[in-house]
Amino acid sequence: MKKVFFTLALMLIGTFAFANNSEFVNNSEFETANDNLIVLNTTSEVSFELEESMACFDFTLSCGVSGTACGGDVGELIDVILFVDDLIC
Amino acid sequence: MILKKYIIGLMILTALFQNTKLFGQSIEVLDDAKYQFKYLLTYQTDSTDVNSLEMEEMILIAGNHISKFQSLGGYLKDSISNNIDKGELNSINLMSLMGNIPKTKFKEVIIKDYSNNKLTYREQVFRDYFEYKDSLNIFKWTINEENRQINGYNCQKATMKYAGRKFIAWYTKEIPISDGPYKFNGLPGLITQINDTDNQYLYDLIEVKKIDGNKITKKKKNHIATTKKELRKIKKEFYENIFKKLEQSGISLNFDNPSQKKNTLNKYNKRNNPIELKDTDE
Repeated sequence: MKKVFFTLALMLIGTFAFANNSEFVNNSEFETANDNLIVLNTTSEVSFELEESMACFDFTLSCGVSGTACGGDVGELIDVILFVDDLIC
Repeated sequence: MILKKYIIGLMILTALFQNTKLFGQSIEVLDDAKYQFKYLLTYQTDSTDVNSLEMEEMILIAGNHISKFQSLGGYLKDSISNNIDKGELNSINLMSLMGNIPKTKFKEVIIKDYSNNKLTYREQVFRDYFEYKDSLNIFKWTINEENRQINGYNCQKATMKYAGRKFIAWYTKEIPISDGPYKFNGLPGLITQINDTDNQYLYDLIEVKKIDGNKITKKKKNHIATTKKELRKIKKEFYENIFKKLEQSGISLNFDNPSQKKNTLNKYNKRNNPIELKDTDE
């Protein structure tokens, strides 16, 4: 029973090791790995290019204005960008 | 030895749970949701221009002892944000969903707690979130004998003064919920229509839906405690210095057309007509 529990714990550790756990990296020498860049070909009004390893977003607002937002976690940045979209467009 | 191993495993798990983005913002459940009321708000954005009318849909969710009022756009956006917390959306789905959310000029969330006779007003101003509290008993209604049919409901008239405006409300006892749009409450039935006597703000009940299985929630995001007066100053300062505030907080914008920036500034200069004209109740 203890072995089963320990095995389960190790499996969960392995699963969460791949979770998006990015933190903002304030490092001008940081290079974006191309395989981490998600480019969204979307017809939605607000489009993003998400770099998984940094809490920064390049965004395009629904009225075509582009920009960059950095800092905070994913949820906070999305809330901020939506606020800016309501503000500008 | 084995006991030591799985204690270490538990500790590692706990550390990972605290750091992973799958468990970001937490949500507090306030009540079970019973009804959803949709209002159409028609309002005059510029007090000097009667033609500066805009419309927006607003949602009132009523539970057993709590209700929550916000714009439809804000309500849908919160649903998306809540799903981010649960890890149910990937980035591609998130993009397409957010493209369909109506824009909103109203960032406030108003929570009425009837058990504690308390009203909480919450609002996002750019990166910061603020809240102030008030009593629910802030409206001194005068019930009128006049009756009218509004959207199929038998309604009775009531009037009061609040925050520099005079309001006319129509409420129905057919929906025995002492609530209404915005902060309005305290009548012996749901407010189906309310407008100020200058016709600059009109809330009209357009949809009633009984809902089961949903919850009324609020985000456990850190809200800075403030007062109504202070929040008004904070908002004024932000909207008078929009682009400076954006730049200071790490948001950079690229305007292909310089007139877009100017139009944004003009737009907010003409948004000078809030529903509350004064900080006092009269």
